[in-house]
Amino acid sequence: MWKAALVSKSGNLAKWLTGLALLLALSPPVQAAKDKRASHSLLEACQKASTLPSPDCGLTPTPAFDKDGKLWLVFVQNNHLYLTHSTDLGKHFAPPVAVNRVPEAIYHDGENRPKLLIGPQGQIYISWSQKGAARFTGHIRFARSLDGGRNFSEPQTVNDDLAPIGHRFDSMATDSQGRIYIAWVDKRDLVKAKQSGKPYAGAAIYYALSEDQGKSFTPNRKVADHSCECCRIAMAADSDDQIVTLWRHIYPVNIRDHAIARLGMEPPPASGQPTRATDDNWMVEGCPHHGPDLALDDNRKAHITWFTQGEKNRGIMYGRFDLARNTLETQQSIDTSSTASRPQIATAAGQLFMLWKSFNGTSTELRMRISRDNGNSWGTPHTLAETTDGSDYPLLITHGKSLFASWHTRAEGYRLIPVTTDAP
Amino acid sequence: MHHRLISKCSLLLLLLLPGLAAAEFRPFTSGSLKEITTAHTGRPFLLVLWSVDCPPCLKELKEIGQLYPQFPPDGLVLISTDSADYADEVQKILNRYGLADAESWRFTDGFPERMRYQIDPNWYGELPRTYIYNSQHQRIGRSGILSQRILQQFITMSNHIE
Repeated sequence: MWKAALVSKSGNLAKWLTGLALLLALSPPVQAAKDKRASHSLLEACQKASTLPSPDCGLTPTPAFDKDGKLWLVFVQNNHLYLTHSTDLGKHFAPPVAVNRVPEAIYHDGENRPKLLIGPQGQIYISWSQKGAARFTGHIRFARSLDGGRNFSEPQTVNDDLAPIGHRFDSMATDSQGRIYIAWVDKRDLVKAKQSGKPYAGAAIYYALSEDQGKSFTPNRKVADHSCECCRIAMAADSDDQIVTLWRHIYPVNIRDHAIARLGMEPPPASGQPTRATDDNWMVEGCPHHGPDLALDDNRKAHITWFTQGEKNRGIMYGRFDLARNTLETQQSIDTSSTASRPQIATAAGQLFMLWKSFNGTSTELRMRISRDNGNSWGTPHTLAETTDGSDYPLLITHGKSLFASWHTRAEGYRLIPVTTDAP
Repeated sequence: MHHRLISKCSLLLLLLLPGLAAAEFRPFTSGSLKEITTAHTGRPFLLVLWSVDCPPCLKELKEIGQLYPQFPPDGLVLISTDSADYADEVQKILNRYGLADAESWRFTDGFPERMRYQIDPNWYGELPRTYIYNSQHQRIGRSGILSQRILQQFITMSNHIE
């Protein structure tokens, strides 16, 4: 409509302006947010060059529980990854240990953050995207500790294409046999196409797996061409040891909806055949920077959440994908407001939990909705926490039947927030 | 004498340089949008939000850069949503696309949600994002790359007003 307003009135200035006024749904008056800020003492402390590594001052802290309920946390600070742990649910942390001895540039934005997994025997697996010198470039890196986080292996590069191009947005999962899968967004096919003068939309999804506890990885395998270039990938192991993988894809032409595939030990096409998971018809030649999340239940259903501004749906969505029938069997809008972002989903105590960020004009709130009927209906949203300064993405993390939100905010530092599973 | 003058000039240049470099970006914080609209009172302009980490943004900036010489005076305002870590990269990109002397702002607040809300409470944060302001400062918001046709249209209409 706005396009018509500009183009059709080209001959007449007055008409153009009137048309503009009439045709446009004008935005509400813009008002400056009140400058109500939390104490800056933590911020100031963290800005000092001499600051020691800590979960409060580090960036993109990412948690995992081991089977004994010890909380492990990896974060980025001064070109290092650091690992620490807490035995009292995040109240106190052990002195952090550097994962990479040699400093290297590490991506630490919300979509592109380090990943941490704890193996069945307490193995610690960490993956991250190393930042290359040029824009949008990097390598997928991996390191492990087999002695409870005291010593780490030399970081290895998982992508076998070593050109200084885009290999970023790593995601990691382990299956019940302890195999480690790492998937990422890879631009080798885009580069190849460009060199031969052919068009190529987006990037590709690649993966590799390790059957020796991360000592070595298989050659890289392509899952799909034409993924979105800048969105995180969601992964989780299914009961049949297939890795359910969900990513933002580019369907012709420039429709940025989601694809789902199950990665296995056998390289594609024996495994990893993608299916369209969401159909919002979001056509945009732009960068959503907004990846999905997923949680699996015991009945071969993938509970997925994503962000869209498609023709059919807008805002934060929930969907239940039937892995046996390979189809999205239900979907529901969770929050349509324009400041709602970064949704996460988890299952705990037989319930489903959705968590996301929302800005109310003054503060950013963590909002939550709960479903007690397998995602058929969702309770009213409530606020779990808030901050009046910048913040990381929230994450959901479970241990047994307990559920926690993990959130790093500039003003407050790192927080592990217990979620009451019988909350309204 | 002549020699001395040159060295005096170089000294003056050296003194000025840091000031010039600092003037290239303006920190976009609370109240900045009001500042921008006030400074552009009565004139149409294009407000373009972009980021170094957004390939389509660069495609759009390239196109805007090519048409920039035809823009009305003060007809372009660029806002990078990148943090201070990316200041050099932001500058390099603007230089490359011939936009070094365009009015440029950068998110410096560390609280991008608040900056986005200030610009438009109904904007989801996707990039590139452009607002076309007419001379009465009624505006249209648009996500994704602006077509050449729209850019041309803006130029034609805006120069007509001048």
